[in-house]
This record gives sequence, C-alpha cells and structure tokens, in this order.
Amino acid sequence: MSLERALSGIRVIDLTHYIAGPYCTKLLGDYGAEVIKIEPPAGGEGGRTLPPFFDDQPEQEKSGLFCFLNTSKQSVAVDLTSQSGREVVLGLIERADVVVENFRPGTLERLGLGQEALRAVNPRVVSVAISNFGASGPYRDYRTTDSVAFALGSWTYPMGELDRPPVQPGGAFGQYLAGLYAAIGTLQAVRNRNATHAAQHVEVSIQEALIATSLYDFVAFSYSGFVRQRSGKQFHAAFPNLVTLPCADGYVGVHAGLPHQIVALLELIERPDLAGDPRFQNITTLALCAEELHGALIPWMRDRKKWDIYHAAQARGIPLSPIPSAQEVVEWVQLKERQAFIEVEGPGGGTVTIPGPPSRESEQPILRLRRAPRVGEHTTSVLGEKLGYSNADLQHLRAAGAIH
Amino acid sequence: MTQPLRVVDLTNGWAGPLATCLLADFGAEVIKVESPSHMDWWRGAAPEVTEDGGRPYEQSPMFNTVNRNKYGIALELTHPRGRELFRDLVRISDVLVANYPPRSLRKFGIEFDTLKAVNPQLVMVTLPAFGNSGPESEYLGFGTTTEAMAGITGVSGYEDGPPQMLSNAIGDPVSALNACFAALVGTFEQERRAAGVSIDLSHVEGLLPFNAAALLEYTINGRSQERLGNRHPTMAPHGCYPCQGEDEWLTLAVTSDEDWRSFCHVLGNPEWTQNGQFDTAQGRKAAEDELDQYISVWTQEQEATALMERLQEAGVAAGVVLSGAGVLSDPHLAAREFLLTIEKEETGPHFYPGFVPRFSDTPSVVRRPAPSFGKHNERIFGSLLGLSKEEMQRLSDEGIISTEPLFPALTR
Repeated sequence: MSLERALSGIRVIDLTHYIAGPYCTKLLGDYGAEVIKIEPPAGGEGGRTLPPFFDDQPEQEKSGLFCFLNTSKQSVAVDLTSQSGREVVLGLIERADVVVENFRPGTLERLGLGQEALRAVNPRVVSVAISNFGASGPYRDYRTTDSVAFALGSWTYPMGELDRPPVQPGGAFGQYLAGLYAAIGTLQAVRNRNATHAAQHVEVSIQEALIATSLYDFVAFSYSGFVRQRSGKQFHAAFPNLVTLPCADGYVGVHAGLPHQIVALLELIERPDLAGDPRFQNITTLALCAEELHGALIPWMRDRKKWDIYHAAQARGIPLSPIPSAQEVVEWVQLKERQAFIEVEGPGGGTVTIPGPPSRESEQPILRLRRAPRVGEHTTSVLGEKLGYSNADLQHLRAAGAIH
Repeated sequence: MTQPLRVVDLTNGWAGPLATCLLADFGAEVIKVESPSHMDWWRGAAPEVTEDGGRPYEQSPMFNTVNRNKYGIALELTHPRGRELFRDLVRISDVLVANYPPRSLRKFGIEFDTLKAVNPQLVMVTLPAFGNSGPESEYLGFGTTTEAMAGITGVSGYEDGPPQMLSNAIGDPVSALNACFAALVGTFEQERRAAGVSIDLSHVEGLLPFNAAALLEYTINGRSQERLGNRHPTMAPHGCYPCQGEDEWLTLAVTSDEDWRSFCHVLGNPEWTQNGQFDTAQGRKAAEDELDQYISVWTQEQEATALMERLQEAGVAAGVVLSGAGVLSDPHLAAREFLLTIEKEETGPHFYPGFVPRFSDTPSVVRRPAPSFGKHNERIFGSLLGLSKEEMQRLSDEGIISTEPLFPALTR
C-alpha cells in the first residue's frame, strides 16, 4: 500500500481510544497519513470491546466497529505508565507531525506527555485533543454517555412528543462529529505549521461540536425568544412539510422544504384542490395546516410502498425518501452502484463490509484501505524502522513490560 | 505566512455554507455568490421588503449563523456575462465549493473540466445529496432526506413509536464538515501534484460512518436495529426524567453496578432500591419500566441542574436537557466563552455558536457578520477583478450584479 495519497508524508501519533479520536485518525489515515496507533499492551484500546462483534462473539480482534474505526493504522503496543514506554512514545513524537489524543483532560499531563513535554521533544508537532466537555470549565470532569452528550449538546430537547419526555437521537454521532471536527482542525493546523513553522494545540469539545451543529434553537431564541416545542413526527413545529408518515410497508420521510415542492407533492397525490390553495403555497401559512396536509397524505401513502413513493416523488422533483432499515441502506442501488461500501479484512480473520471514505476524487474508484491492526502488530517494525531499535533493545523493553 | 486561501462559495442552505464558513473562520477569503434571481433560500421564505423598509431576508438567524466571516456578492449566472465573471473569480481562487444539484451546475457551465482550463490548480468540491454518479444522482435531498437514507432516522424515535427525524437535520452539518475536510485534503493534493483536483462528495455516503454501529450490525450479523427511544441495549436505568418546573428534564445513565450503588446513595437509599434484583445490570434491565417509574417520582421533586450536579459529584453520568434558552444560560459554555456575539446592521447583536475547533496560536475571530445581499459587489468586482465604476454601473443596470434580490422568483 505505498500508493501516494493526498496526506502522504504526514505522520500521526495516535493516542486515542473508543470512537471520537479513532474516527479522527482514521480519516487522516484513509487519505494517506501515516498513523501509528499507540495501544496498551494488555488487550489494546477500549474500542476493541465495542459491538457489533463477528459471530456475536465479544472477544479480542472480533469487534466490527473497531475494524471500521481503525483502517489505515499501524498498532504499536506501549505501556504509557512506564518510564521506558513513555520514552518510546516521545521518540516517535519527536519524528511526527501530529499527535491526537482523547483521554480525559489532565491524563496526559499526569503521564508526563502534556503539551510542554511534546513541545520539548518536537516544537513543530501539532497536538490535537478531543474531550467530552473541553479542558476547562465546570463540566470538565463530568461523566457522560451518548445520551447525556445529546442532552447537554441541545439535540434532545426539541425531539419527541409534547406529552412525553424528549427523546434522544439514535446512535453515537456526537463522537463522530467531534472526530471529524478534529480531523479538520488537524489539517488546518498542519497547513499553518507548514507555512509558519509554528505548531499549535487544537481542541475539540464534543458538547461544543453538538451545539455548533444545532442552530435551529438557541440562535432563534436569541433573535425572537422563540422556543421550539416538540412536534412528534414533524421535524420542526413550524414545518409540517417535513414529516415521517406511515405507508404500506413502513415509513416515508417527506422533505418538501420549498413551496413549489409542496405544490408538486399535492399534485402527485391528486389533490389539485389543495395544490391550488394559497395557504399551502406559503411556508408561514402552511404551518397552520399540519392536520389537513397530513390528512391528505396519509390515505394516499397507506396503499403504496416506500420505494415506489420515493421514485414517484423524486421523478417530479420532490425531495422524499423511504425510511430505510440498515439492510435497506446497504442494499440500496445508488450506494451499490457507487461502491459506497467496501470490504476489509478483520484483524482476527474474516471480512467486514464498512462504509468507504466520505469523499472521492471524481471518476476515481473508492480508495482501498489497509485493514485495522491487531494489538501490537507493528511494534517491532515501527520501533525498528522509525527509532532504529535493535532486536536486543526490543527484547529488553519487552522484558520490562514497556512494549509488547 | 502563505496567502490565505481564496474560496468561491456557490452554495446555499446549510451544508455548503457551513463548509465554507469553517474555512472563513480559519482565515480564508470566502466569496459567497448569490444571484439576483436566486438568493440563498436560507435567507427565508418571506423575502419582501416590509412596509417600514425592513428586510426579513437579512434577518434569518440560520443564514446569519453559517455565513459569518464571508464576503457576499450577487451575480446573475443565468446571464452569459455573469458566467464569465464567475469564471474570472474562479481563475484567481484556490477552492470552489458548490452544492447545487449536478444538473444545475452543468446548466451554468460550472464543471471541473471547463473550470480546469481557466484555473489548472483549482480544488473543486461538489456536494450533491446522493453523489455525482449513479442512477439516483439527480434526486433531491435536504439534510433530513440524507439523514433518512443513511439509516439514522429509522433508528431514532421512541421504542414504541414511529421513526423520528432528528431535531437538526444531521445530514446538513455533517456534509458541511465532510466538505470542509475534503477541501482541505484537496489543498494538500493540489500542492503535492501541483495540479487541480475535483472532489465528489455524496451527503449520504459521508453520513454513513455516523451510523456505523447500526450498519455493521447488519453487515456482520444480519440484524437491523430497532428504535430504542431513550433506552440502551444493556444499561439501566438509562433515560430522560421529568424535573421540577415546566418542561425541565434530566438525562441520566447508570453504566455499571458501581454507578448503581452511587446512584442509590444520592437517592438516600430508599427502600425500593434495596431489591436485590437491581444489583446487576441484567436485573435492572429486566425491571426497567418499574425503575423508571420510581425514578420519575423522585426526580419530579428535584431541580434539574442541582440534581445533575449531585449525581455528577457521585460519579453518575447525568445532564440537563438543554433547550435553546438553556444553551444561552449554561454555566459551562459561559465559563468556556463558547458563544459569540455578532452584530449585523439589520439585526443588532445576537448570540451564535462559537468556534470549533479551537486553535491555541491562531484562534479564529469574528471579522464580519454574514453579508447583506450583494454587500461586497464593489470590493470583489472593483478592487479584486478590476472592473471600472462605469462597467459595474452597466452590469447593475442590466441586472447582472445587484444589491437587491428579485422577487417573487424565489418563493416559486
């Protein structure tokens, strides 16, 4: 895999675990950066315990999510709590462009790997830190889960039914958002560094990442005091034209955001009376016609299948979608045709189908990716090649438990 | 210091504009291109000038959020001279980001092969909803559409209810970040090869990773996930509970047996918690409904913020459910000075999201608010492209550049 890619030549020392940090370094690696993942020798990093697992077996080297999050990386197993382990890592950092970490704030300082220690060995190194709430402020050390992150990230409050508790979004995307923001920050900092020779520290808080991407509420509140109430199946209390509705074999999502799209939708369902009604041609007055709009759509949807509705609507320029399951997403012809999913090997054997890189050079096939590493798979090669350690050095470090 | 990037921003809505907003925050010179006949639809649905001369299209909180730090011009791309000026801009720029459907871009000659002839070093990022190829490449989608097609809507909502669109159309901001990342990757490629590069970014494909666990559950073990509401496959209690006051809620999660003991301690170890069944995650999960009832009775008597603090002090994950108003008064965000106050002539000062990520040595700053329609025509066409005042007057007379959007074209 010596193919030159956009980020070839950028060396990243990856001190991350679980999702947010690994997603950041995966993005860098998938586009060509050389990513050296430092893992604790005993069992590797925590992401190796994340479901889903191959054959539903929660064993080492069987995490499918780990396979996805750690493509394009090499694994070096080092005990950061040992003095000689720390020296090994500092040696790697001396020869690197970027260090990424997502430990709880203060952890690396305690291990003697804080920003000052990094700068001391390499004044040009860009350091990137991702954390739940940032490295300062009263919530700094708060414990969190995806659900708590969504709540304090302001995504949960507007979701759900008015007479029930707010409902959190599905998935764990706060962590992915932060990882992606961190990858962006890394590239920007490397660009600056290349231009000015001055490295710097980049910080991403998951809470801030979530709030920066949730602008329908607090900015509107600042303008007008508007508080969006939960509106169930509707996206937004003011937009009955953005809604999930049942159909013959599941659900569809109506996304007719613009007035002419609503008119086209009403024509599609053979309701020229409503299509010609001025109340339905203006987003402001439409907000008051939710029940009428849904009442017209539901009977039409009821006898039709979601993919048929999708194609019929899109043929008329109406943004409308099925609400697909995971299986339907994977089998969707548009993604198949574009080879959006790719196969990679698992570190413990077998293959897994994962989403490919998010963007591609036009006309180019999707990038092939190096499979996720086994714990310490590259300890010998990386320390030998990058740091010039002899077999005797490595044996010595192994015997001391500093590496594996 | 190298010159800051110059970016031509032919985008509208949320995804495209936020991508270039990030670049603008980083110091790039971003030139946002609107058309007199086609202003950014995020300026709002009620565009007419009001009786007292107000301009609602300058007062959209959403538009004003994602267009800060940019220059704005209004150039009629349906006119050949407008397209020529657009190419002149591309000639002297580093990056072009465009989020109109492939069909519309083709119509205006905004294609990489054409523009490459004008600027061989160009990084061009296009971000159609479903990508530039494939049988459904011309299909239309907003952020909620791409969110659905990535399988995220299907796993959101109450466990006993219909799928629920996310509160913020995750497809848009994620595509924005993906486009920003792609543009930066493109600049590295541009430098490495000393040549331009065209990047195809499908919103849906860029969103798939954000639903990776559910998708892999299918590709590995053949299962499609059910909606879980506020619940978790293994943890209990795990939910959103009512607190004192109107529409005040606390999210909490007991992630281990040790957490459970800490949690009970905060409750004052009432008798119902002494049920041995609750000592294990399995036992708690099996009695989840019962637990939620007990907990709700208790939380209703508590003030949400105070309860969050007490639980966190005991090491239990908990967070108040922040509304928009809550974001503005959150002490943590205030201590970190996250929110920005930006003043625009037509709106006065308002609060906006701060900078993510934060840079220690070259922190982002607010240099200007979102541009009023056509605000920087003179600067861009005059100072930058070198048109004379007479030429600009002529363009303005012919409606090729403008500082007033044409109505009512955009509501159609």
